[in-house]
Amino acid sequence: MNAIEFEDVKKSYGSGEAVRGISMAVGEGSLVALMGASGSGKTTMLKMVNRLVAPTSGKILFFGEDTASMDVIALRKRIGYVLQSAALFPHMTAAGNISTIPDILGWDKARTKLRVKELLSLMGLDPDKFAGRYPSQLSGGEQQRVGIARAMAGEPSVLLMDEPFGALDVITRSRLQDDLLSIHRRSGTTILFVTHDIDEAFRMGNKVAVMNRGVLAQYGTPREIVENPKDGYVRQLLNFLSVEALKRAGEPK
Amino acid sequence: MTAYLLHYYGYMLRAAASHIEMIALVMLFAIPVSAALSVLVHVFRFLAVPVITILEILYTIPSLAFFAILTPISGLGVKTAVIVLVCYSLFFLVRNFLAGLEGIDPLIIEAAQAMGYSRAGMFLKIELPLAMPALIAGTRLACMSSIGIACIAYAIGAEGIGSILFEGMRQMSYVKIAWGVILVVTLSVAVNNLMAAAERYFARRADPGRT
Repeated sequence: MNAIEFEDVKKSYGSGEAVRGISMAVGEGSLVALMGASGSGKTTMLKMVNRLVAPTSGKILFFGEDTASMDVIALRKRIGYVLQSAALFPHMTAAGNISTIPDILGWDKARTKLRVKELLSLMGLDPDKFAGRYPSQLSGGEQQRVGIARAMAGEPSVLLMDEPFGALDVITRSRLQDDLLSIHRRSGTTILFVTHDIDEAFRMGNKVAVMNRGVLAQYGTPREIVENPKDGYVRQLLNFLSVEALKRAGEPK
Repeated sequence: MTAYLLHYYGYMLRAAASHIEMIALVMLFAIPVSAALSVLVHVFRFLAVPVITILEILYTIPSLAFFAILTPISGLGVKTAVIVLVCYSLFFLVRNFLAGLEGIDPLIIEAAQAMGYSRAGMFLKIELPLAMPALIAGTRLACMSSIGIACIAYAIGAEGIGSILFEGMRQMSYVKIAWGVILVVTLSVAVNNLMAAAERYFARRADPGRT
């Protein structure tokens, strides 16, 4: 089953076209990296899934259901969302931030508390030490970990991530990438991951969607793309892929 | 100076008390009305320009003129004074409250939206606590301006510290004028410090990690 399906989706802002008729499917349980330069329309694609942005035409299906006819709040409750800046609520502790969605969903206190602990540990943050801290007492990497935990708290079927590691230093970023991969393997949550970094896209994605100016240039596994780049743009991009990432792409996942 | 104080301290206290009562009454009306107006403007953006413009126009009417306009309608006394002061206060309150709501990091709003908050839930849990310091700052300004203008309201018979000041002027009594000034300045400083403390408290609550 497909978690998300885009059917000839278009989005224009005034005279500009951000997304020009894209069709693609994100399989349940997969981690798809949506990569492209700034202005390629990748963030717009992401935001159309949880209806922060409405498509101009075309359809987006969420587990087979047309999102346009779904209740927007109900839809959003099933989707976790992580931004580049963790955008944590500054007036709430880490635990408070992570409890937001369970509270909206009406979970009882004991279940929420357990979930907060579980998620903090999963994100490599000692619950005793971090649960009571406020966002401004956390480093950038810790904030982003809490941001991911917050997005996963309600056990969403899909996680949308918009350059979640873009603002982090190289070491923190690489560690978080590994952690996210292992979390993905264990939880089986479908993840749609936006990045402009080709190495990151090839490292994270079971499949990579390369976007170029609102068009889907190529969609396939890292291996398929490396072995068989579809057009000049993709070939050009591959020149910037690190040797390490290139080698990894050649190995079956 | 001291002789006047010893003789008239009861009268002075009563004057200060009615002054405080007038300000309290003003805030009692102005804060809920401004909160409602701000929320309305925040949700229906197209109301921003008309609402702010009307409040600005009201604010530019000189207080004496405003009292004069309203006296035939609402009569002499505290009632008219309170109406005028509420109108002035709305300007400070609405502007600050809106600035507080609009000053929240848009990414925080986006994150909250994406989580599936209802409009009301997001307002109560996210926007209100984060905009609280600005709301208090607006209340502080409104109080300060009201305390000053309330003195002038004696001209339409609203008793307060203005009574002592106006009597002093009529009788050319520097002692009375001085005591009036001391009273009104003390009240201003006290309220200002109180509100500043409240502002700090809510600023801490909006971002406890900072302190």
